[in-house]
Amino acid sequence: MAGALDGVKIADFSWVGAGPRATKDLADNGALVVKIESRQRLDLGRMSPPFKDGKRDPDGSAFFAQTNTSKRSVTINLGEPRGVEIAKALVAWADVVVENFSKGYLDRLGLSFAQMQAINPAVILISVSVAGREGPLSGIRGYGNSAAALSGQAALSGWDGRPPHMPPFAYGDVVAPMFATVGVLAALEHRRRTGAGQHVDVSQVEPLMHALPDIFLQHAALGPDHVVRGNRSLSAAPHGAYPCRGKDQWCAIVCETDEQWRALRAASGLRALDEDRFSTLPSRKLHEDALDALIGVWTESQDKHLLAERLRQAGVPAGAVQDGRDVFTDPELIVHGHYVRVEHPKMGASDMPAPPMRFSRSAIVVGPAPLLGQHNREVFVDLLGMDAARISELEAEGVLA
Amino acid sequence: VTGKMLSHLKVVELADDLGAYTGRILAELGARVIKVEPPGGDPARRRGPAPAASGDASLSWLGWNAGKTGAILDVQTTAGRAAVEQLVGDADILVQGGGDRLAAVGLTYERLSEANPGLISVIVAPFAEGGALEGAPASDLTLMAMSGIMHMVGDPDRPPLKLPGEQAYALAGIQGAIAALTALNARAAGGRGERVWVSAYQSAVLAGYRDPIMWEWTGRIGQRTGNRLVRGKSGVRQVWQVKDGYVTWSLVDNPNMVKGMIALMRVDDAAGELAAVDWDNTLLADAPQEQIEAWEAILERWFLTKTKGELAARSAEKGLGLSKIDTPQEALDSEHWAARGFWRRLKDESRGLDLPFPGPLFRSSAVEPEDPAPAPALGR
Repeated sequence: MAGALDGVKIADFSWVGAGPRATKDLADNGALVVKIESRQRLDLGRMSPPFKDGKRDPDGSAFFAQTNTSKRSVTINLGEPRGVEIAKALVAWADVVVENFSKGYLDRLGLSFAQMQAINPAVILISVSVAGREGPLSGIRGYGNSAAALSGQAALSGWDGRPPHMPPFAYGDVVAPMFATVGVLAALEHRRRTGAGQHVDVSQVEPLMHALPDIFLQHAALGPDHVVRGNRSLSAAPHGAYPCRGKDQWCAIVCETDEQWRALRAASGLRALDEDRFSTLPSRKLHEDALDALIGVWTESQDKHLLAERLRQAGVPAGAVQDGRDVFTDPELIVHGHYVRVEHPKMGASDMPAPPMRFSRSAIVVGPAPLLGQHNREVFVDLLGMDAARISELEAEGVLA
Repeated sequence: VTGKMLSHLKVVELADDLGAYTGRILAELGARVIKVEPPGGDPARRRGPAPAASGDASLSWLGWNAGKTGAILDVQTTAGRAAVEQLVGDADILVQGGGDRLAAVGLTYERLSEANPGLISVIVAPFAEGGALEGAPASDLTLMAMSGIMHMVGDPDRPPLKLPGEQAYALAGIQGAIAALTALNARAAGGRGERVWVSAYQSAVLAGYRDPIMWEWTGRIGQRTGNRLVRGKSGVRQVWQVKDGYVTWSLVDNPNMVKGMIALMRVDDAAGELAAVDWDNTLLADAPQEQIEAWEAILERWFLTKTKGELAARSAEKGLGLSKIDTPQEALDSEHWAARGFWRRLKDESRGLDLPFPGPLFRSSAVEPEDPAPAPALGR
């Protein structure tokens, strides 16, 4: 079977998370992604823990490895004019160029979108940045958490009576690259139809706001008091995480329909849930503290996995709150190939996440992330047709480094 | 600037909550999306509060379904199935939420693609096809719980916490759009469509990029750390109170950002021992927690003397990576998003609504942003 994106050529100048997660999706589906890196300006992702054997090594980061599966890596020093010339050759080769540099950096190199078009008239350029490439805040620098801050997401997160919450992972580094992937694929379709390339300007903030249409409409139409923080929902009760057997163990339980509520009452055998004050959703919302307390007393002696399974069997949406080990060892994920075992030259056999979809015809092939500069020869000589001896010279002179 | 990118595509959607965002994203890109609802309407129309002016759909439903047109068809009847088959007969993309609903009534992909070989069928379901959990009841919260994300969101003294809104549904919905457009590329090369099954659970697991690999490579299990970002051996604070609200900034391994912030503190003579640290040769991810917190105490005192606006302005000027933490109202009122044309108006005359609405997905040099059409009225 062939990959759905076989033949798509991508020159990827992006680093850390916001661009690389997009090009991982594309590479796993068959696109040829050439990641342009430099020893002079290491992708910070290569320096992000955890590392193989706990040793800090640009080729040993598991974070980098899972974010850059199936790509090729070349090293180009863009501080060198001769390096920039080679980068231009990759722009000429590519269908799609991806970048998340600081604003203005590419312009200073002579690689603005207009200059890229002069080299490659139908080029598609995808830029990912915190606030986008245009607008008064377009110059701001930051990381994925800045996106949560500016989108209202951080303010909406957390518990009533406590400050805004920022979880220790950058959701802005997750949603924006997915939008960038959508942008690449839609722009490729547009180009097939019209012959025209384009510049797609992805902000890390806008996708977070786009993925909250319910909350923003409720906010605008009903006012901020109708927007709930915490785990509760305006359209379901119970709707929360309940304590289970063991330290910091929890199970999420939700009843969105009367049928699910009846099923929970039957499965729990809790007589107290038969009280009138819990008989309808509006009434359960009114007495939600009491409802949650009763359910919590019932759940706290039970194993979270067994409880979740038993409730699901009874027709109640339920899921154990899983930690990293629970997820990594979940048979549901193992059986369905969520993790693919790849042989990485430095990290050895390791499990890498695959795209969360299965095609009936197209193959998903997850390969190892590249070592830094691993594919200099393959890309410069085989793809661009440069002279092998010349590559060695440029490597020695610090241009391809 | 030309027409929208996918204006040549016809999409048929059968989805209530899960999968509705896939159709929404394709509509945002210009595709003609026809949402097929059962008699009485999509049950998700009744989830959450409705606007005062109209009772046919909740605000949440109006948000996930803007830009689509509607059709009421009962696939439990022969006539309804024939009508769906006809609708899908010249569609490019079929989106189904929750499972393969049409196959369950005899309209399998094999059958539909015999009449329409280019058809791309995307199923956005809670779990993988053919697995032990296929068909098990799930909701956004239970999927977030299982994903590993909730375990690390929230405060250590409280239960695990979900993200705002319905992010498992959103993540799966975007993956549904990626699946559709990926198959579209393959179709352009080979002429045939295909069937794609997207697991919402796996979509949410993929989003959680930290804890599973942390356990895989170190054997450590992460814990909720409140507003601390843990990297390597220590955690750094992410939320700071200032005079008039909150900002976010962290002592992360970006020496220029750290040195720039300390330079501002020195102007106020407030840098203390931070001024003496060699940041270029300090790996913060490896610094002991007590050391980080001692440094942060100095920062905390100084931040309380500043406003969001002045800190954000200095940060923008010097590239320090600090952001204001905006409330939803501040995000709605921001001049920046206005300048980018991000907040459009959802003008819905039949429901008497005129509300700000998020989008487009991104700015494109090929497409002019337009206000979205409202979600379909019941039975239209």
